[in-house]
Amino acid sequence: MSTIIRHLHKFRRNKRGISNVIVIVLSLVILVIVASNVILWSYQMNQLDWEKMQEKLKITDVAKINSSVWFTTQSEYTVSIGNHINGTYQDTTAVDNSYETFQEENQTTIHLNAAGQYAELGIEVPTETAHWNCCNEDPPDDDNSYVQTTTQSWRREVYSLEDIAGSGNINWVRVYIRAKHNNVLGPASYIRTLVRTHDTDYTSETIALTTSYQNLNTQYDTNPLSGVPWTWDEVNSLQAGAFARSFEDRFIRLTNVWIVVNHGAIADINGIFTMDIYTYSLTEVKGVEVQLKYRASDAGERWYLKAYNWTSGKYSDNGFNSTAGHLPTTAWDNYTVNLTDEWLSYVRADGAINIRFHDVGADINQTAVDIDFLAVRVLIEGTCFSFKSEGALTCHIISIWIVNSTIHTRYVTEVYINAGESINYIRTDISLPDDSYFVKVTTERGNIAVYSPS
Amino acid sequence: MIMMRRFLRNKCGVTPVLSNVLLTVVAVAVMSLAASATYVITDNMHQIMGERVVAEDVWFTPDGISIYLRNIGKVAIEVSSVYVDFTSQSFTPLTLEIGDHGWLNVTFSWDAGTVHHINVVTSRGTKIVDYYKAPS
Repeated sequence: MSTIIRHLHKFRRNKRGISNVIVIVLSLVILVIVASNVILWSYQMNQLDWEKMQEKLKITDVAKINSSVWFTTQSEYTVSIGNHINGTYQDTTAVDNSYETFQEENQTTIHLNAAGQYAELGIEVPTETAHWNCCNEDPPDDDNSYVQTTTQSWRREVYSLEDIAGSGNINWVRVYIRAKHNNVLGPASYIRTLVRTHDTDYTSETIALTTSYQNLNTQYDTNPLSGVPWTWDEVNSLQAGAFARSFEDRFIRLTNVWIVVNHGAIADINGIFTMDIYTYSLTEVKGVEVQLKYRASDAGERWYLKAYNWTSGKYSDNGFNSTAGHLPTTAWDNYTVNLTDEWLSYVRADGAINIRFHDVGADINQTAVDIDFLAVRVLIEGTCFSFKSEGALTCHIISIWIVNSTIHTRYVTEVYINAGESINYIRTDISLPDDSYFVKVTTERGNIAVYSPS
Repeated sequence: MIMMRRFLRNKCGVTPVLSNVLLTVVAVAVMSLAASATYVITDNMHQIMGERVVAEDVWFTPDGISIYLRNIGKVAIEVSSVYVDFTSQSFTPLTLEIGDHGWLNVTFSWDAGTVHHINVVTSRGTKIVDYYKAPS
């Protein structure tokens, strides 16, 4: 203790003490700053170099491709005409022993889907609901929604119907209404069925209503205007409804309208297929192909593949390489169509394509059709690169080089591969040269992997 | 009060104070200069240590040799000279910011099938050196 006190006294007596301290402290500070700066920076750069050494990227394969993978539907098919018998859409996604079965139908029920020419029955329940929307339930909901007239003069209601992509002869069209009047006392109120075709109205005989809802129908074997059998276009443009007149306080309620079309046995299904436009850019697509593997129980009817034309708003096979359809053998058959140069009309901007499968040549047999595989794919001229990251770090590939004797082309890339992973990377904008070439890829850290086809 | 009187009686009290203050000022000034010099030196070291460049591709073209460089370091680089077979060659000026990339076009009449030693030197002295064989 006495030694320390003696040193402090000596230091106090030393006139150069303060400047010495300042010089020593500042020197130490500078030394520390220099050392830490250099060490930290060196550490960062060493880290960079170490990561570069740890990264190991390998190109395992490079191959030309001329088509994409098959895109199958991701939701159940819509059966416009016919019946779904068994299986699911998932059974149609691979060529295997599982399949989905549909059967032809000779009668189709068509429901309302929009307002028509008249909406003269003055009351709707629920209030402010579109009249057609009060009469389109399946099954009918009776007093939960209806239109009603309290007027003692004839009033008209007709509605538009869903479009059906049918084919073949039509035996008859039957218009159905479901109605009642609401008062047990006094004479009945009256109603007639009403159809509107070619802008002309046709009504049935007058029908007396009761206080219970009843289904009333009128059958038209031919179009009432032309007198010849109905066509599918006439059915699709048909409007149906009722012509009603209340009597005193016996108000008429109309709760449902629909039509039934009787035709030769046919089946008509369609499904949405969505293509991966992020991998297969539509600007690089050369065509679209549809493939079907199916089995029909009747070899007498021809089956067709069509696609929905998003421009014209109709199903069509215009521009397909084959529009003649396919005649089945009752064994498993493959049927492939190519949409050729017209493919763009059938593919929506998001890559969706709506494929329709139906038969023509309706007969009395209700053919069962099994679908094992139905899918679409795009035709492209591209390249598939197979990469494998063998290092302990994630690789970020930033460029691909295609090099041959005449070209050295660099393609900007944004691909990440986790440590140990293998991926296939498809580029539709890269075409491999016909002569000898090699491929290089560079990573963000500066490593280069090379592939030379043997 | 006693301290004050002692200080006023001290005939040589001003000189030590002045000398101490002057010494302090000189010491601070010298150390500031030393700190500035250190900053300049270490900053230069930073930049030299932070340079990393890779040659993604070397293309022997009819006009010469094109080298595709990419800056993977922490500082911008500028190519200051190119040596082919240990001889300085003219080239189109190239400066690459961090992460940037581009062609360095070197004017050189190469011989088909011959191996050439190419050395690209940056303004801070970093070298990208390798042997490249010209196509036959």
